[in-house]
Amino acid sequence: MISKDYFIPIDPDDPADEAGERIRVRLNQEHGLIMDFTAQYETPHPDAPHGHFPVIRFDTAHGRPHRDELDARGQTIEGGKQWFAPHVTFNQALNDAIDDIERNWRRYRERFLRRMQ
Amino acid sequence: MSTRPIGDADERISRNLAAANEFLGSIIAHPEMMDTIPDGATIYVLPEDDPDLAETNARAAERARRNGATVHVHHLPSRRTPSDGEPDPGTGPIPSPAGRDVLSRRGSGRMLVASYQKVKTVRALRRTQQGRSVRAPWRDNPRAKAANV
Repeated sequence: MISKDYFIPIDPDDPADEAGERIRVRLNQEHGLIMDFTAQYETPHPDAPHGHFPVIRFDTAHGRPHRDELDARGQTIEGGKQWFAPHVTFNQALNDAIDDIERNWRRYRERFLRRMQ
Repeated sequence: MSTRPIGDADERISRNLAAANEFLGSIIAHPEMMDTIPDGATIYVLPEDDPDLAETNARAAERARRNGATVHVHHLPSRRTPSDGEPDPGTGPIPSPAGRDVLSRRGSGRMLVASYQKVKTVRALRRTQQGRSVRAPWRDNPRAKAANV
């Protein structure tokens, strides 16, 4: 299985560039097909081990896409898991994940930082 | 895609992520693209339909490169209507663990969803030409039915 991580800066005019708010997309390829993906919104923070904390994660690991809202340890918070409708296509799941991050990333970041306090 | 100048941050973010969504859709449809993009790369999409966003992203890519980041710049061609009868390979269901097992047991005979749909269509057409009713291909082969994912 081939697994690669790609980063997409949320705001191309962010002066921090790739070190700013970003989306990490991990694609797992097997037998020439993308078998599953992870799309994760990450926020920069000085306390983060690698410079960024993951805040929201969408993945298809169990055959059905779902969203996890995370704490500073990378664990799903209580009540933070939400499943997508079944039989969603890859394209739709990834579109929905990116759309959700685009609409709500500021709110997710605020909640994340508040939990850290 | 918009050709208005990008001023507002929300507008800029919205257009950038829409372009990123299209790029990711391309990779799902053409996984071989992953061979050309290094692991850990920061992706900047330059859409042909949105010259202002393309310019903004090109500048951002250059800055990131100067900072030592691994950068991949993707030129997104102008949107075109899909050709007739060409299915979108990304519209297949997400393979379940059982489905992945079947695919791996079939070995290197990769069958994309688009190919499978094409085969079904050709078989159905052949049946109508022979004056037979159109049936799902697996109905004629009970073992194929059992193996159908």
